[in-house]
Amino acid sequence: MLLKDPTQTEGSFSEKGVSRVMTAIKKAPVKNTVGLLLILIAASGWLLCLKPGAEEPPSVQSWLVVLFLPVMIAGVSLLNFWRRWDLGQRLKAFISFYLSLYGLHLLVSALVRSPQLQASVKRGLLSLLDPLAALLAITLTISFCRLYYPRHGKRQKILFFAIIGLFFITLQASGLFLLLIILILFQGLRLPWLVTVSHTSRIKLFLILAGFWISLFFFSLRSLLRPEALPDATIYLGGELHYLFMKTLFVYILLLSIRMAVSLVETSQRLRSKTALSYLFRAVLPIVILIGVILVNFIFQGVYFKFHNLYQGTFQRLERHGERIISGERLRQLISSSTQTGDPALALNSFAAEEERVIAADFPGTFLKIQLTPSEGGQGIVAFSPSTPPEFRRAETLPRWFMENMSPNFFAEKGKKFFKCIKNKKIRTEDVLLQLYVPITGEAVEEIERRYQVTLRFSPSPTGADSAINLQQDTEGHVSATISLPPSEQGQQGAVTSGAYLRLPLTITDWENGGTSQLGSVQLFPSWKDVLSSSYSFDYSDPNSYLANTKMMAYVTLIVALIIIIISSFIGGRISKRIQQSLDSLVIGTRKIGEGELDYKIGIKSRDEFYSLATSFNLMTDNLKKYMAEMVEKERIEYDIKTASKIQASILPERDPSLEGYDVISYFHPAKEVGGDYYDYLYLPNNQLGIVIGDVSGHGIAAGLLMSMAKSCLYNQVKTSHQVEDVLFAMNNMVNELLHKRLLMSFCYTILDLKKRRLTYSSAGHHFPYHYSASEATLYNLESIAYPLGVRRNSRYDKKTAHLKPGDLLIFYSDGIIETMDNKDELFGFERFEELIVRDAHLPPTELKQSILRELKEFARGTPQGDDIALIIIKVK
Amino acid sequence: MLEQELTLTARKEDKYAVITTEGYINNPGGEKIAHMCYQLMDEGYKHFILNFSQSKVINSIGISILIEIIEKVLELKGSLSFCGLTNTIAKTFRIMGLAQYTKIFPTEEEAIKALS
Repeated sequence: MLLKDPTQTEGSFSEKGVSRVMTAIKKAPVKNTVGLLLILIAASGWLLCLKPGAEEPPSVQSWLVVLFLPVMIAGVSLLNFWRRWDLGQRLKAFISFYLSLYGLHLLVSALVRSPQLQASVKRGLLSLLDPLAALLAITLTISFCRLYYPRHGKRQKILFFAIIGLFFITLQASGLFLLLIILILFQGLRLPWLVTVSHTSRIKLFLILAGFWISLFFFSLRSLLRPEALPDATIYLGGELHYLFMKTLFVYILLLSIRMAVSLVETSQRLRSKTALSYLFRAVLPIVILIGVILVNFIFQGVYFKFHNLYQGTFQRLERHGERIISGERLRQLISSSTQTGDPALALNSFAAEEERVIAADFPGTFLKIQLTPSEGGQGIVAFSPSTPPEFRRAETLPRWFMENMSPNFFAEKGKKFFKCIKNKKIRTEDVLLQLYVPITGEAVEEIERRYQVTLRFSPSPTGADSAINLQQDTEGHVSATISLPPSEQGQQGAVTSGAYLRLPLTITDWENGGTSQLGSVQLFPSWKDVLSSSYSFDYSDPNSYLANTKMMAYVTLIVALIIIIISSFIGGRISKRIQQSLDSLVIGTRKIGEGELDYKIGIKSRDEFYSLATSFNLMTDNLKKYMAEMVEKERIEYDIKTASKIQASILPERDPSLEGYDVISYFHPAKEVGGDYYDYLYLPNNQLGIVIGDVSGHGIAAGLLMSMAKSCLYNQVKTSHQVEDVLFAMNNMVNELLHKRLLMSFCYTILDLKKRRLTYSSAGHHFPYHYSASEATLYNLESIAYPLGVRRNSRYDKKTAHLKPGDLLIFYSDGIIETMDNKDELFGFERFEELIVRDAHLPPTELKQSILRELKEFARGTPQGDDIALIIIKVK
Repeated sequence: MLEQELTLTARKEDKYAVITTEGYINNPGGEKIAHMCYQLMDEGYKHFILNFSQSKVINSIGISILIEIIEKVLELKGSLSFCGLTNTIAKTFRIMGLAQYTKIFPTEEEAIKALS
């Protein structure tokens, strides 16, 4: 079969135009309440089509009405089962399928109303289906609890099968089942609050199920009280559904308990809850459980005592009825007149009908059978009440002790010997014991000896033991039997056997010699269903049984209490110990880490807040360790930077040159510890001073290193030629080789002839030096346009010349001055710098430098310095 | 503002492309300009106009990257024009030799007009 997309869940039935009811039926397994409702509808439909007390078989229409819904549900569910992908969906479809089959079985069994057929169906089909009914109950309940949906992992599956197994094991324990019923009645509404999921749906479910169950219960009860109103099949159906419902509720409670346990485990993973649990187990829980056990004991004792009294009282009342009948004058008159009129059976039937009405006041549904011993050579007289089952209504004549499969026994009463025939008889669903007492006279003796091939002889029991037949064989091979009579048999006024029937002696005239003897019996068949459960048995004759039972329960309570206290103390202690262990681990861990063992890990296995704390703690030590390593590395780098800064400072001239006729002053301030700006003085031959200023793009250690390389290269070059064009040519090629393209160096090289006051200069991308002519009060840019060093190999740089006069200023600077920025991102710029120089050109170089720095500081208004600043001021005296 | 990340917009015309910058032209900003120029070169463009009217600051590394672009353009026998420069930047370009191989216009319109 080709499976379709599971999202396309709508079936083909709707496509064929079957009404929306079918859609509701399809969803029945999903909405379990709907499924139960459908079963109720089906049952109601069956009841409606069945006429009360109808003897004729059901009509075809009745069959159709009854079978329609279950068959349709079964079909649709089966279809759904094959079309579903999801395990939960398939399970639901299977539940629906089984539910319909089970309902079908119930309805058919009830409809045919044939005890034989019911029995056979029950033995065959129902025995097969019963485990499935349990499965149904389980799966329904699981679906309620949503244990398997939407996820059904390994744990859920294990839980699922564990529940099934537990269900089958515990379902047979009727006592536990009774306890659960009590729990449902008294605690059922409270249990949903004890679990953490789906409270509302559980309450709704429980209310629906409880309503369903109560309606069934009262419906069944009404039928029992008025059996003529509805046929027995109704009771059967109600009982079966009731049973099914009970099983469902049982599993429901079981699963709630499991959910509670799971919730408890989940809750116990929190420290606060764990601490509370510790106290709970050690103190509160044992007390609560003990109180619960004592209460349960009381309940059991109460139930036991109630049934005990009820049972005892029932028999006492039955005995009183029997005695009243037997000792009644009317019965004696009836017997006397019936033997004279020759129609004793008719008179006896009338009498039995009257008595039954009297008895029915106490025992509704009881029927009465009065049997007289047959007269001489004649037939026995048997009377029946109208409600006597048909199987008792056949005419029976005595002696009928030849009935097959009877177990023979012998009985003596006031010197008379009787042959007691006992047979189990099935009345409805209960087995009763029939007893017939046949006087052992001539015909009976002959028959007994013939049937059993014995010779009967009677003697008192030598040992006083139970009655028995002692078979003896003489030397000629003849077998003889000795009947031993126990003293207890003498004068016994009746016996209660298994509680199903009562025999009382009846004094009638002997048919042989006209004497009187106690013969025959009055049998009362009470309707036990409305009295008590037949599953209870007890020692009726022992007045101390209740006390003995109480003692036993007390011992059980004591033992259970001890076990609970031990277990609770163990669990509580274990929880406390774990908390203490976790605390100890944390304390040890903090101490170790405090001592510097950063590799120490706190190991806590419990999944509570301690675990989270330990994990965070371990993470913290890891981070601390990492941070400390980073700190060490950072310190190392800072040390390196400081060292590099010192090296750079050593590269820059230690002091400004002291020259005759010139005031020279410089200033350098890196933006970072190590800058990219470079300036230097070269003391050249012929009274010349070389003035160098440059700027490597960027700053930091890399820029500082490049700067030092440039100095080295420059010093090497001037040894060969200090001419401007040669120096720039060599420096360009050096930078071009050493630096990659995006690291360039601006460079300005000037030779000042000190004596002639003549400048020879060239610039590679560096800011033009300023020449302030004091005589002209004008500021000139010593322009020399070219790329910075390193762009093009073998570039040639033109040299320029200029002449100085006394009072003139030469100012070399780096771009750090021009690019000083204020807090509005405005650059200091060339114009401001030039105006400043012109304004303060009359000042000595030192004061001019201070003025420039002051202006820059005021302009920046606290904005961090973005680039290195280098400044050389030379004033001609 | 100083460290404002550079954003670029490029307008492609038939024979040239106009790249307008906004923000600080530092190392990453210069990288962006270079990347865009090289992409346009791959598409066949040789003539570029860089509009710096929204960029007030350019550092030394940014300038070195612009020099690199200029050298590429010269290899392709193309042209590179600047417009919208502040006085400081214009002078810096002149000092550092960029103006030798490029043209500087006050406005974008004038730069376009000079190309056509």
